[in-house]
Amino acid sequence: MATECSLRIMLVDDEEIIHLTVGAYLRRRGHKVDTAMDGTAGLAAIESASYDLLLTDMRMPGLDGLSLISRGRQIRPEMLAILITGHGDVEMENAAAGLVDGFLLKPIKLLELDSAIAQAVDGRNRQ
Amino acid sequence: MAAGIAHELNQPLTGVRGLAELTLIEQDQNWELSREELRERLGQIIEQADRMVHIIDRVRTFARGAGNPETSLVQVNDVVRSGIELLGVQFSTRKLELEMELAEDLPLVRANPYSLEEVVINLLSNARDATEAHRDEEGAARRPGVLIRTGSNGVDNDSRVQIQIIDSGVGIPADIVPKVFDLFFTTKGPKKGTGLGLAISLSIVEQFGGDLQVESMPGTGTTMTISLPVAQEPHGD
Repeated sequence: MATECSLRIMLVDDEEIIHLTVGAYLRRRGHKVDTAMDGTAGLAAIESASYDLLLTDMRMPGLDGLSLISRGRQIRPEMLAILITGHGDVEMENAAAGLVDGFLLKPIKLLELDSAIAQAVDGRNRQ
Repeated sequence: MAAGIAHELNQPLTGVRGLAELTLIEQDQNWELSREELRERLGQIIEQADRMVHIIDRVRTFARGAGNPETSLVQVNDVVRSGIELLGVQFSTRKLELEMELAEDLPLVRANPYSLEEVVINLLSNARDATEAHRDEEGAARRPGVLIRTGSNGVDNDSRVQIQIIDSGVGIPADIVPKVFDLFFTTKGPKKGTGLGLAISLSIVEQFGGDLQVESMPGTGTTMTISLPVAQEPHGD
């Protein structure tokens, strides 16, 4: 799983604009991206298909990002996970530290996506 | 309040920024972007900007005391009928009952009828959403619905006219009830709620010397009660 390769990515966010921007950028980068509007739909997708990376917002109605990662990992233990958070979610980030492969802060800068994904992949390869 | 406004504006602002950044990267990378795609992208940026304008307009309305300050003598039954006329179809298409019990010989109140109708529409919309959510979550033995009822109580200078909107919806947990009138507080999620409706409604009702009360039981439903002082002028009915 190298960053130059095309990854299968599940992007979960309840804001459609994130699908339009982040999703479009990742596809431009050659990744295969599926999207879901909430954690429940994201989990259903993870159950039915294999993904290299789960990229999910933290705050969503229903199943939140951290719960989604936790439950998604029970189905796909090898799946990388990057959590998208707002500024100031320090406590939540501490709680998630052992579970996720990286964080992205909102507003997401598209060019930072590449390095966040590369770090997540490299971190996993070193394990 | 400032944090709430910042949060609401941050989402469309993130959209504008993301769409512009994506377009810039595409230009820098010489990635193909057709004229139609560029046009669609610009349309999305305008849509996000319009969303910000809408939020700012609502905040302005709230800040200047919720709407038109001109008042007149108002028969609240007329306001209720007008509100139902606007929302009635939405109830029937969603297969929700909307019943009306309007008291006869109701005294007049001094208010702005359009602002008061905005309150009725806000409360009916919330009742509709809560009742629909409850039906979808729990199923319903009978057709779920909302009752809007008018009446009056008290005597002389303490006389008040009431409009009650009673729903059979999901209800509001006790710890949430004190927050429902807070600006930008919403349980509907970013797609459906801005958290402005109840804050603006309370502001409007208070502007006319009234109050807005909420009683709720999770799993059973919510009753919102608008209470307005009876106008002291002779009403000629």
